Amino acid sequence: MALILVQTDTVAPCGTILACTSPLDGLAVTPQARLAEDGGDAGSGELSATIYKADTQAGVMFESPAVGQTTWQAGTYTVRLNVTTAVALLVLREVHVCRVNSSCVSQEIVGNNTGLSISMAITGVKTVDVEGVEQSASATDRIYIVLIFEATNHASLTFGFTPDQNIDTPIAEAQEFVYSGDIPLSPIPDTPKGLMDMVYAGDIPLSALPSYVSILDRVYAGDIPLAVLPDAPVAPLEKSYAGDIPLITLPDFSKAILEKSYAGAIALALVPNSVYGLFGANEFIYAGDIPLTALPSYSSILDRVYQGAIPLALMPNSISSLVEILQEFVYGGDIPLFILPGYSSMLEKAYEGDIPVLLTPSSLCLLEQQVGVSLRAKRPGMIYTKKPGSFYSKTPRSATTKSMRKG
Amino acid sequence: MKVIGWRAWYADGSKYDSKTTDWKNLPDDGVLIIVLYLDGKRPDGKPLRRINSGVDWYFKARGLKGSIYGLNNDTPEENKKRYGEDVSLKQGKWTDEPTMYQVEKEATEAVDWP
Repeated sequence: MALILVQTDTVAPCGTILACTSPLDGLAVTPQARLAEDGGDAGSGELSATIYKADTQAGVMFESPAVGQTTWQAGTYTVRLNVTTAVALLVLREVHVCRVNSSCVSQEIVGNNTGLSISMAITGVKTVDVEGVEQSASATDRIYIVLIFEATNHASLTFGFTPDQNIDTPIAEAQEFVYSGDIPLSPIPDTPKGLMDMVYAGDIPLSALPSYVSILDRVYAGDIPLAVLPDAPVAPLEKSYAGDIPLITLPDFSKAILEKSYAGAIALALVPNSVYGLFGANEFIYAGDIPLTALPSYSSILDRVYQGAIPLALMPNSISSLVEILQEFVYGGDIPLFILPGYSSMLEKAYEGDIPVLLTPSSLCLLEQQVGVSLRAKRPGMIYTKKPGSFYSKTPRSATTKSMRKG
Repeated sequence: MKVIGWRAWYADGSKYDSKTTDWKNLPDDGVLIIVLYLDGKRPDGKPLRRINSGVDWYFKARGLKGSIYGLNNDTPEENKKRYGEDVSLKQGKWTDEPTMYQVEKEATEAVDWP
């Protein structure tokens, strides 16, 4: 699809310049230049341009934003001017299409139509076709169109136009970038489409784009899946890490961010809102997608378990691997057993013989204190049962009581 | 498109419009600018216009589908021959630049009708 520019009420960034033209009498007394952009809002305010008496002057200009393409195809540029205040004896003589750089310096004549004699005495849309030649451009080059008028009598002539028309170009629009095949880039404001080509090719980091924020906004809004942006795993995360965007508002926060953390590229602790984000991490863990042991910062999660923020029982894989991990901490003496929320269930497991309590230095010590006897001296076949007035007492072993084996 | 009204600016500073003055009662000499208002609308809702200036003669004549408001540098005789004996001619006049620029500004800004 070819690029179509919409005339707007916005003043052209380059202002009123002659660009690649050289009219006999220079600029009009009051020239008017407006921005014409892809997807822009058509203007609604009338502008007046005055051509000095008997002169041939550049009176109206339209400028595009950076085209973002390094090749401008040859073909027809169709320029329209909606004359809403006509003036007798004024004639549109020439229309020029120029290529200017980002500093508004003319680079080349794209094309022109100089054989015109279109009266401005009648209101309505005046249409002029200009044949343009192919351009090798910088991505930041702009289209600058100049309309030249002649006042055919001996008085200055003023006419009015409303910048609300389309300007057709032969320039092929950047391919509709579809991060995953669905979302065209064109709705993203201020996105130099040519630059995106390079981004997608990996030549330019996403963060270097002027429209970087716009793209991220769309990612954050869920329009663009984060995972399909080539360098997305870094850029949006950086914004999150900087605290600009709460991690939990990222649509695909769960996968992309956590995976990077899991891979060790980003320490979970460096994520400002990891306190909240870790809940998301836990969801993954709960679902069994990611082994807890694979997390570089898995101790943070354990800390939260130890602090009671996350009930141990809610962790599906706590039955198997998690308990062992927790036990390792306990065995190592890092965490007193009694501060564990899942303390009682762990003891139950120990009583059932699944966990060798004797390998648990702190729990052993605690139990010894509570029972008041040395567990190390106990004989096999004996268990300890809770009775009124004491923590535990000796009873014969049976099928219905809990057992504790020496490891 | 039809003419729904006009305003006229003269070199002596006087101004007229079709609400209060009939064309034939305009002064015969001294026209600087005549603005015609049309029954079409601009995108902003104001009437379309045509600004006539810079010639020797401004005239109103009978046309097939209504009045003709024209302008040219032909002689009165030529105009009568071409547009009929009852053509109403008003003559243009040069003025100094400050006055002309002021009148042009007023005419350009006179976007509403009536």
